[in-house]
Amino acid sequence: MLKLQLKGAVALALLCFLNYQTEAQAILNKVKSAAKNKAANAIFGDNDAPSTPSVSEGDERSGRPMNNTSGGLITTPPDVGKSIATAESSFSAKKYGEARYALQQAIVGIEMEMGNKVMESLPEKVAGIAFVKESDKVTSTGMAFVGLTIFREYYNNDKAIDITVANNSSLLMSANMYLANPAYTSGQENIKSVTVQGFKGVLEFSEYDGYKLSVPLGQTSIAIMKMVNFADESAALKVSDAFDLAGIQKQLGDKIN
Amino acid sequence: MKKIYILALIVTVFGLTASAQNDFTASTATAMNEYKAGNLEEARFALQQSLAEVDKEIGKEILEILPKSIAGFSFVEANDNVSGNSSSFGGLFVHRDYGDTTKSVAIDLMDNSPMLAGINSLLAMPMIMNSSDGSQKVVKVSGYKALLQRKDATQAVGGYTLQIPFNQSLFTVDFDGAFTESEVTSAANAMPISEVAKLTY
Repeated sequence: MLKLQLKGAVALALLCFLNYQTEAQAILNKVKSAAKNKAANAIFGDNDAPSTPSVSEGDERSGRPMNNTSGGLITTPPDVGKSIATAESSFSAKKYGEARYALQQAIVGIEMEMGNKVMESLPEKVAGIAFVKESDKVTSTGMAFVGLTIFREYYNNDKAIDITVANNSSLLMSANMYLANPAYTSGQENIKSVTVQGFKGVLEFSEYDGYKLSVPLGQTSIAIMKMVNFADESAALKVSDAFDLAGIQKQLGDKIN
Repeated sequence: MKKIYILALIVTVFGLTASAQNDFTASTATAMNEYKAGNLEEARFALQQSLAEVDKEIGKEILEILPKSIAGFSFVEANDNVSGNSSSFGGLFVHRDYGDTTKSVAIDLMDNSPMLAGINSLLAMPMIMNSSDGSQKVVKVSGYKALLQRKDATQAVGGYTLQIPFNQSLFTVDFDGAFTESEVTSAANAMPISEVAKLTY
């Protein structure tokens, strides 16, 4: 009985000691934190007021801060040389999954360079309308059926034009299907075959979207131009003359015949 | 005589391995040279060739781990097929056949498959996928959701197709002949799906 009481007393003492230690630790942490804040304020000249994260107007009710200070993602394309070296070493070590990933990264790196060159070659003004720099977009996935895409748009209050150049993309299939089967184009009111700068293409019209011209550029590339609020077919086709289709095709290394 | 056969086999295996290594090394070297010369399209083409070589090696490893027999049927070695497609639709493709003319099983693995999006969206809606006529339903195979379809819904016993998406791959097992659903699911559960998924990741 005495032994049991003794054990109980020891356990109680241990609990008290642990509790004391926890509280002591909490107090110590608070002191440390306060000291750190004081030191930071002394260095950076901040005042004692606690900093409140900015809250957007629309989110005031919840009090949850909106993201408005983060820097975003790094958009530097993968290093081609390094990716190829990684692929070689991974392949030698029979790490095929890693080798494949590294090769895909190398392809993305190369495609981004190709895309940026095509982007640079696109005109800054079309039909008197300046391009919207923030909308410029080069996308590559390193995967065959998605491929490389380059997008630029031009618009003012009245008219809008955009061009998408796709390389190694499934977007090519539908246009080629139309071109290979004239019945598709002749049987539909809003779609027809046209020739632009010596390239065969497909011109579509819809009341809502305006004109859309799809021109396959060789085996694996296509340029798709959309023109909104142009008076008629000839005005829309004239817009497409602003884009050097043969030059784009050459830059993408595609053969036409 | 036996020693000669073994020696020939070793030479063949090493020869093939060396050939794959050589093809890979040659195409990556070409890619690097073309890239340095500013010929971006040529560099990309060479890298796609390298990618196809890597895919072929992955495919060979997958064939190694696939079962030698399914539902009592041995595999048909002559029909084993691996291809690494450097462009267009589908990167890696692996095929293996089992059985004979009356009952057969075929495994197809398609990696980087554009068909994957369709299957995945269907699997996300099991209420829609479980059809009332019993022709298709969502099942689990080795922990993976899969779409099981009966080829002829009017028959209690018949062919089945099982489609299992994972990573960027679509693993399809086609059961042709008088198979029951339990035979199909137990055969599928005996397959090393998780290991295949690891190899294609």
